[in-house]
Amino acid sequence: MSYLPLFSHIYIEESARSYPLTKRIISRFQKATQISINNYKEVFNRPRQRWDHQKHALKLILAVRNEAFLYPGSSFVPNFEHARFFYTTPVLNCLYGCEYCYLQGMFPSANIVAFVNDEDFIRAATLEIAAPSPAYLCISYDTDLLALENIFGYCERYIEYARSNPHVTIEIRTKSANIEALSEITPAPNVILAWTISPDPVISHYEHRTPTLQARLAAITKAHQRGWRVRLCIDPIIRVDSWQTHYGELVRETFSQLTSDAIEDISIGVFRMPSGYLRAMQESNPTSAIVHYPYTVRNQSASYTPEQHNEMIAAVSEQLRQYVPQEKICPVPWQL
Amino acid sequence: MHELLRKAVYGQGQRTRKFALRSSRFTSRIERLPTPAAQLPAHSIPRYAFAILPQPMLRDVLIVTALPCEAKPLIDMWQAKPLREHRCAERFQVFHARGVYIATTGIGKMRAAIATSTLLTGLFPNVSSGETAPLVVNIGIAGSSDATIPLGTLTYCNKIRDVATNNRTYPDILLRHPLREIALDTYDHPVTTPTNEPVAADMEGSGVAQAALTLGSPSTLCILKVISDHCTGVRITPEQATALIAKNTDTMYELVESLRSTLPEPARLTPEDKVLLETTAHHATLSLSQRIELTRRVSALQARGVPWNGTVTEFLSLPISTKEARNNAYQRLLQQLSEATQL
Repeated sequence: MSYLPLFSHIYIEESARSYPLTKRIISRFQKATQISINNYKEVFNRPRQRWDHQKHALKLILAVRNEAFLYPGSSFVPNFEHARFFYTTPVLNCLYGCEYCYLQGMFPSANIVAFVNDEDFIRAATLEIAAPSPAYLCISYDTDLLALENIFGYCERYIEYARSNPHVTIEIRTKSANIEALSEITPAPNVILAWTISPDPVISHYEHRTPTLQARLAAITKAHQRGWRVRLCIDPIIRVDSWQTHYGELVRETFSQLTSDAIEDISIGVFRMPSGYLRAMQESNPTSAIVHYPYTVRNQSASYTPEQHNEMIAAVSEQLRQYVPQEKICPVPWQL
Repeated sequence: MHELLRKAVYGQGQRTRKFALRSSRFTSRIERLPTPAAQLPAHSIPRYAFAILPQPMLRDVLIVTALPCEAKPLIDMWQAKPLREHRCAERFQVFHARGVYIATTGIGKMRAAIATSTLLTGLFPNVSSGETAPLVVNIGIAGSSDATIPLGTLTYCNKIRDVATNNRTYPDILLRHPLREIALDTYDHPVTTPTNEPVAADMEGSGVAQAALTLGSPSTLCILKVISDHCTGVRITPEQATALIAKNTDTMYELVESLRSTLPEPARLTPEDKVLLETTAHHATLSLSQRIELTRRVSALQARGVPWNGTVTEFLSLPISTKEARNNAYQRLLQQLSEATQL
C-alpha cells in the first residue's frame, strides 16, 4: 500500500463551512474525505505528531482565524531597511519538505492549515499598516503561497491589496515554479517575488519535493519578462561537503540565464534558527544529517560559528560580485 | 531464548528486522531520495549520499480487542502464541508473533484504556517517546445507525468521539486502503436504538485511542470496526462476532503489516552501545550535561549509520585524572564526533 495522495482528508471547522473559499476548495477536492472539527487546533496541535510520517500524506485543515492577522517581522530575517516590517500567515505549513525548514520546529504538525476568512486578513492589514509611512509585508514566510496559488488564490488577493496600498511593499517568498498561476495578473510595482535558490545537490538531498534549480530559474526568467520585480534569496547556505564548488556553480548557472538587471537584489544568509526549534526538529527527525549537524548555539539561536558564517557569506558574495554590483547584495548579518 | 529476554539483551526488533529485509514493500532511505545519487555529477554529491543508512526496524504492533471471540481470528491469522512469564500476561490474555501482540481488554472504554496503557508500558518499556511507540490497533465489532452500510463491512475510523465527555481524537490515516472511513462514537452502554448520526458506535474505541495517544503518536493509531448491527438492539453472539472478524482478517492483516513496514523505526542505540557510553562517562567522570550531549550526538550518528564506536572506545584509553584533562579530552571527543557529522 502506498501513501494517500495530497489532501486526501480535509478537516473543516464548522464555522469555516460557509466561506466561499471553503466551497471552492471542497469542489476542487471532491474525492477527499471531509471530517468536521470544532477548532483547527484539535487536529493541528495534537501532541506527539510525527512530522516525517505526515509529510508523505499531507492533510488540509480549513479554519477561521479570529485574531493575530499580522505579526511584527522576525529578527531572523532581513527587513530590507524597512522600519515597519510585518508578516502574515494566511496559511500554516508548506507543501515542500525541506529538511532544514524551521516550520518543523515551530509547528506540531506537518498538515496544512488554510484560513478561509481571507477578507479579514486583508481588512486587518489595511487597518494596521496605515499610510503614509512605508511598510514591508511578507505574506509567504510560514508557507509557500505561490506553490498553493492554484488552490487558495491568496497571492492574487494580496497583490490586489498592494495595488490599493502603494505604501506597502509585499514580498512573496517561494521555491515554486508555479509562475503560470500569476499569468492573468498585472504585475504591481510594490510586489516582489522572492525566489529561494539552492545548488542542485542541496535541492535533491535536502529540499524534498521542491522544483529543480532549472525550473526555478525558468520561472524567474518568465516573471522578469512579464514585469515582476524579482529578488533572489541564497538563503540558507548549507555547509555541505564542497559547498564552495556547489554555490559557485549555483551563481554561475543562475547568471548564465539571468542578467543583473533582472534582479532587484540578492539576499544571502547561512542556516540559522531558534535553538528551541532545532531541538524539536532533532527529536522528530532522528535520521536527518542536517538537523543533527553540530551547530553553535548562543543566545537561543543555532547557526554556524562566526568564522564559518563569515567565510560562507564572503565566498558567496565574491562569486556574486562577478555578476551584480555590491549594492544589490544583502547579506544577513551573523546575529547569535 | 525467551522473546522478551532476547529483546532485553539484543534490543527490540532484531527478529523482526529479518522480516523487514524480506519484505518486498520495504525500501531503504537511499532508494527514497528524490534524485538517485548516481544521476548527479560526481563532484556534486555530498559524501553522506554514499553512506548506506542502517535498515530501520519494523514497528511493533499492539492489537487490542474487547473480547476473546474478536481476538480469535486475529490470533489464527498471525499464528500468535500465548505470551507467558511476563507480568502483562498475568493480568491480560496476550498472544504474540513476530513483534505483533494481540490482547483482550474486556468490555468498556475504561477497561480498554487501562489495558492499553498497561500493555503499552509493560510490553514496550521505551514507549514514553513517540518515536518508539508501537502501532496500536483496535479491532472489534460496532453498530452503525447508517442502514446503508452492509453488515460485515470493515470500516476505518478517522474520528473517535467519547460520547460522555465529547472528547475527540483523530488518528492519522496515511496509507491508501480499500476500506470505508467512518467516525466512531464510543458509548458507556450498548446502543440499541438508532441515532441520526451516520457514525459507528462501540464501547472501547475512545479508551484505546486516548491511551494510545497519551503514549504514542496519531500516525501509529489505527481503529478498525466491523459493522455488526444497525443499532436495533439485536444481540450478537460470540460466534457471530468471530465470524464477522474472520471474514475481514485478510484485509486487516494486509493493512497492519503495511502500516508497520511503511512507518519503520530508525535504528536506535543498542544495549551494548548504552553500556559503552555508560563506561565512557564513568571512566571520565563526565558531568550530567556532558553525558546528555554525548548521548545526543552519538544517537544522531547511530540513526544515520555513521560509525562512532571506535572514536568513543579510543577515548576510554586516555588517562584522565583531573577535571581539566577531562574537559579537554571531552572537547576533543566532541570535535571528532563532529567531524563524522559533516554534511
